[in-house]
Amino acid sequence: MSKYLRKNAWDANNGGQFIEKSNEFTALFWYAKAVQVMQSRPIENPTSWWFYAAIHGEFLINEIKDPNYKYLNWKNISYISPKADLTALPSSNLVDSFWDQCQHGTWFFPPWHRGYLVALENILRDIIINELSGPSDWSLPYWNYLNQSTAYAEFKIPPAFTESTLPDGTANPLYVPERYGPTGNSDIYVQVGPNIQTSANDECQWNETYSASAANNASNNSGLFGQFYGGGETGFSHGGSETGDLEMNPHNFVHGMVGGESNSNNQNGLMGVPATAALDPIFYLHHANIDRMWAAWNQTGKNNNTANPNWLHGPTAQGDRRFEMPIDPSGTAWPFTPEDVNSTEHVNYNGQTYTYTYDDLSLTSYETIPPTKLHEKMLERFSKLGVRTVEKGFKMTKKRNPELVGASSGSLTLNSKATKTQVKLQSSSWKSVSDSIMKASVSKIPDEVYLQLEGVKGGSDSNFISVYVNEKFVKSISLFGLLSASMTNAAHGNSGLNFKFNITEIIDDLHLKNDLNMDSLNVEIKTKNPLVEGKEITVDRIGIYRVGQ
Amino acid sequence: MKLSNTSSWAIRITIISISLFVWVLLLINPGNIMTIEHCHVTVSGPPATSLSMLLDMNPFIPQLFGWGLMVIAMMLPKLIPAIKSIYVHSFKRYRFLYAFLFVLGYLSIWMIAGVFMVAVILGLNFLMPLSYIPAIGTFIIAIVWEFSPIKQRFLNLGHDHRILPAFGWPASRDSLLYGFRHGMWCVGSGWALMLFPMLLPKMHNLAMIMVTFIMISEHMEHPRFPKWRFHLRFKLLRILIAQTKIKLKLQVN
Ligand SMILES: [Cu+2]
Repeated sequence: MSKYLRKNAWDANNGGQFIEKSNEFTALFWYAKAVQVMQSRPIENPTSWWFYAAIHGEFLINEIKDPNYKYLNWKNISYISPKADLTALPSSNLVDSFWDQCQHGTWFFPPWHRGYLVALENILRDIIINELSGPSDWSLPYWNYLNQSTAYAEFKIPPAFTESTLPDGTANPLYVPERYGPTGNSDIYVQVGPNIQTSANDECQWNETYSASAANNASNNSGLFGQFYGGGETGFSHGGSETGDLEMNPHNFVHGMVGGESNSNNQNGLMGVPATAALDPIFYLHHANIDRMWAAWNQTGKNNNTANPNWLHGPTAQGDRRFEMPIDPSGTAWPFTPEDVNSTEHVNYNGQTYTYTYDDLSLTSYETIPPTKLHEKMLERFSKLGVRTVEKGFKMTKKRNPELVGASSGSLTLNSKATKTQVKLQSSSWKSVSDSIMKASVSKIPDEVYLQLEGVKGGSDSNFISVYVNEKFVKSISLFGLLSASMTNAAHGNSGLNFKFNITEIIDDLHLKNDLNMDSLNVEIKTKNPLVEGKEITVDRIGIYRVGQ
Repeated sequence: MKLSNTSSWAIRITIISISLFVWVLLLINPGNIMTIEHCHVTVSGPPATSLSMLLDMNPFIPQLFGWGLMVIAMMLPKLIPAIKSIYVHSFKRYRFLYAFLFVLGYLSIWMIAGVFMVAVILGLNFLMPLSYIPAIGTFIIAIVWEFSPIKQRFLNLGHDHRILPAFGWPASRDSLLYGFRHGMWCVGSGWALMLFPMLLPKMHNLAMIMVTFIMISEHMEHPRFPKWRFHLRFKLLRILIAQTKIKLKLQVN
């Protein structure tokens, strides 16, 4: 039994091209040819490109009614070929089993997308071998935009994705006009770098805990976005707010940057919105990279996924629909659980063991210095607050007790550039925060303080927002998934998205400046791309929370 | 933000205890402490011949009171997620007040619905005493309603847990309004199912338990696109089966 090797789309493809120096075709060429074949099939066929994209999500049955976003309805997308025949939909059985499955804002994000890629890779390889007489060991290439190679500028989309024709003269299916890039001028690249607030990175790789139940001791970090590496412990979640570190950055960031928002009409690119993203062939190379990072996190980082049975058995353990992929034109299903795709070394693919790996399993490509561990961070915090500590003299528990201590009054509409607001603190609740910081000791661990944007709604999926508290920068986040979360009758009940930010350091600094005795915090929210009229972003409430031990 | 495990369990246990307590009152009626019957008719004598006679036997106000108890027993556990959400989103000292106002709003909608429902029940009992026809008729309506897009719309709306204001009068007002709204979506999706056991001449209690199970299950399902669809919303049953299987498997290993 063979082991498939997924290779770098730049380095192993002669700089992201269709033809090797030796004049042979590259993996990218075979990918393009097989995508052509899948795109020639009608959406009715479960092995068509269009059906596969709808497995991730669609705006076809879930039609958008809001005139501002109708351009995202699949019937209006010019990239979709007439051969897709969108008027003849698959049977409702097929639609109910397979469509709208993608898992976002959840601990199922990494395994669901792994199964999705394995199924697609097998359909593509079948086409390459049987219909195109191509290489029998073909595997999906990955785009590692964080690679610091000196040979190629790998943060750019591989050139094969921007050519208009293939070497054989046919139209290049890898080229998608509805791709606008981070600055909206159709220059497609991923912003990487220390001087850009909304830049992609692989800091997530330092996180050592998959999810809350995998935190075996209290010194485990709860992650940059408070949901650990893999995400929040939810049921089936076709879009949600419990986004893990890997999913937020780089995953969501890259979606937003590649899709982008067009300068000419402020429209989102296909990659920027979950229900259109999988139409773009770059999607699968992006996800192969995310999958590679997860594999590296396990193998090189020596981190384990959670052993929680509700994760291993998948969403059916919580009464939800199962994960499944069609493997042939008649719609035969490969049902899978996270346990089936727990390791790339033995994926349980349709009753057989399927093995693949990557030509690069470095834990990080961009970040070089691991962050301080939680225990040291705590020591640093104690010394900052002037608490004398004896090494190991304090004990943190896993207990986390969040409590609201302040909130904005009324909802907030974000302006194009920056929106400032005051978030009022409730005096008695806030006093408990300042008390806990002032009376901090090794036996009384001071509170942590969080800011949460609650009920964020809008349709600016490719956009980013940056949050500041009392003029200090906190963090930037991507709004990938916002439109679906704001639609009624979608899978979320239009509650919008929530975003959580740890602002403990800023509060500690205020304490050191003797400024804790205040009745409000100044919060400023900046959007990366401008917001045009009718496409504003609203925030139901900004909440400030203390999390005590 | 997620409520701490301790508070989460406290809410769950409190709500379920209240609900169970009321169930015991309704089903067992220990020591006959309840002077009224929650079940509609138990006409044991000759069939009622006049409305006033029926009302004598089934006075309207005690009937409505029984209806209220039934709503508390059956529906309270469904409110756990909303109450948890109110708790985590409110200042500590107001958590109970806002949750209470929400429940109050919710129950009052069911009581208003109850006025009509009890009138219908009494009316049908008067016209067709001890007949299965009203129950069968309602059952058919409930089935049609069950698979309709309108019902799906109501269920979807039931997932609309909005963020409430945190301060002052607006916070109290909106908690109550949230209860009203949530109650309306709940009555909208469940009125026919609730009516059915009330019209059954026999096996009323069993039907009530089954309806509770179905109603809790269907509110656990994710929102879906509203359309005509044959779909059994037995999520609670699926969870129980799946979790039992997992437990058994863990024991074997
Ligand atoms: Cu993605």
